[in-house]
Amino acid sequence: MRVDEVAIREFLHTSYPRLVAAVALTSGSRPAAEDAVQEALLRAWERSEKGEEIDSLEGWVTTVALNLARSGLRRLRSERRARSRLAGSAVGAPPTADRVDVDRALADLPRRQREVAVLRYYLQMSIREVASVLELEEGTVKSTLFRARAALAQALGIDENEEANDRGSR
Amino acid sequence: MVLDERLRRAIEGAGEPADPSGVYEDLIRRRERRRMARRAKIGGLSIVVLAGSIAVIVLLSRVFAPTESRPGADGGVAPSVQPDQTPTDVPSTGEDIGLRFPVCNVTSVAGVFAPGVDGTAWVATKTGDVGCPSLGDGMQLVAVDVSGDGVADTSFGPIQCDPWCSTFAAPDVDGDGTDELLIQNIQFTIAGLRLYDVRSDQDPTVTPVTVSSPGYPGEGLAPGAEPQLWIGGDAFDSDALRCFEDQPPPSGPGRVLIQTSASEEPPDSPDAVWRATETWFDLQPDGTVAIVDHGDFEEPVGSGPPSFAQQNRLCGARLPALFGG
Repeated sequence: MRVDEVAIREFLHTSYPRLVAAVALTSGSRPAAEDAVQEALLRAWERSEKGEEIDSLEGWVTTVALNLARSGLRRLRSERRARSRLAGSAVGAPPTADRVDVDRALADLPRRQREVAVLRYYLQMSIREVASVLELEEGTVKSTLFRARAALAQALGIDENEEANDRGSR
Repeated sequence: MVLDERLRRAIEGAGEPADPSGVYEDLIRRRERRRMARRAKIGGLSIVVLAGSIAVIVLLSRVFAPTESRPGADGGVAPSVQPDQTPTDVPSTGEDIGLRFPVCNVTSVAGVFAPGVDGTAWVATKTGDVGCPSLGDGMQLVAVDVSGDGVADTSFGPIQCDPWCSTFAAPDVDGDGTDELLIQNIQFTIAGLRLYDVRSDQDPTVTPVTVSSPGYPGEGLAPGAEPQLWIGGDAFDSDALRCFEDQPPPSGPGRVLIQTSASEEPPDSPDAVWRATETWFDLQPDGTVAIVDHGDFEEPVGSGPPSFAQQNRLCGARLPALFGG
């Protein structure tokens, strides 16, 4: 596909809000997530202008944004910039206890499990899409998701056997 | 399904969608800044090249000055051979490094790519019909002078660069006495590097090193992939490369290249630890790398550098100053 102004505006309207949230959930930094997604979008635009073909803008930007967000230096710089921007402005509402728990549970997961869980549960990607974005085998995604699922359930106090119990009681 | 749904809801509640208003305008500004920076960099590069050329001309004019003006310091006979006065044929749109076309945006590094021979490796851009493409545009390639005569014996391209490539170092990764080539393919404070294997046989070659089977697909090291190496860091993250002499075959792999990627967690805390991942690469005779070890470790963040801190030499090669050299 050709990445032009129309495609960029469409992406910003449809995919950008949730992709930034997803990258923030995986990186633990909202400023780094915004910076990474914007940088990835810009790179897609520049590459398309040079004639490079990009099959799926959303997939491409997700892959590159996640790679960029892993860079600690970029994270540090984005946060510094955000702090200087926010200096003196009103502080937003504090996060709820539930949200803090989820943030902490995700943060405690190994990076790969965290990314798989967020892409699957938050961006609602299929196993195949997650595998494509993270450049993994589908089997690897499944096993990683299985481990992430168990760890998250334990961290959030969700009974993994609830499903089986529900079935058994029917 | 119940568990999946509950997790989906929990994570859904933790995500906070971003407001896209004003982002398009930010992108436009960012793109303009980048274009200006690129132009400034090209301008700076041109000035450096121009200054270097002038310095070379001045130096050469002194070296080849008329004999009566530079008798030997001991009063001996001045050289009788006069310099060739024919102007050097330098293409106005590029540099000749021995390829069939002129190149520009040239970076180079010295290395021993054939036993006992001082060679040179270049990364350059093929000069187009209308001159030198902007840095990062055009076909970028790697070329190597294996025989030490100053011209390229082999080349490989196009190479993938983000946004442009440059030579980085020529370490002897496998300890066979000849050097391999590291190229910087990602230009950032944390440098992204790619390893190239140079063969000095009858028909010299330079090719990107790829991962041999079975690799380590979970970490992006699938068979056939070009391993992306990293070096650099800041206060909270560190990527380092080092050589390690393991047991020689058949007991061990011999010399290996070790990539360590570490994060300080939690940052700026008295309880912080380095959480590090280490990958061991063993360069094989066929130009592929085997992943011989991969694992995680932790060590406390102390007042000094971590155990894996980047040294200024890598497998015998001095590194650029920004990265420990």
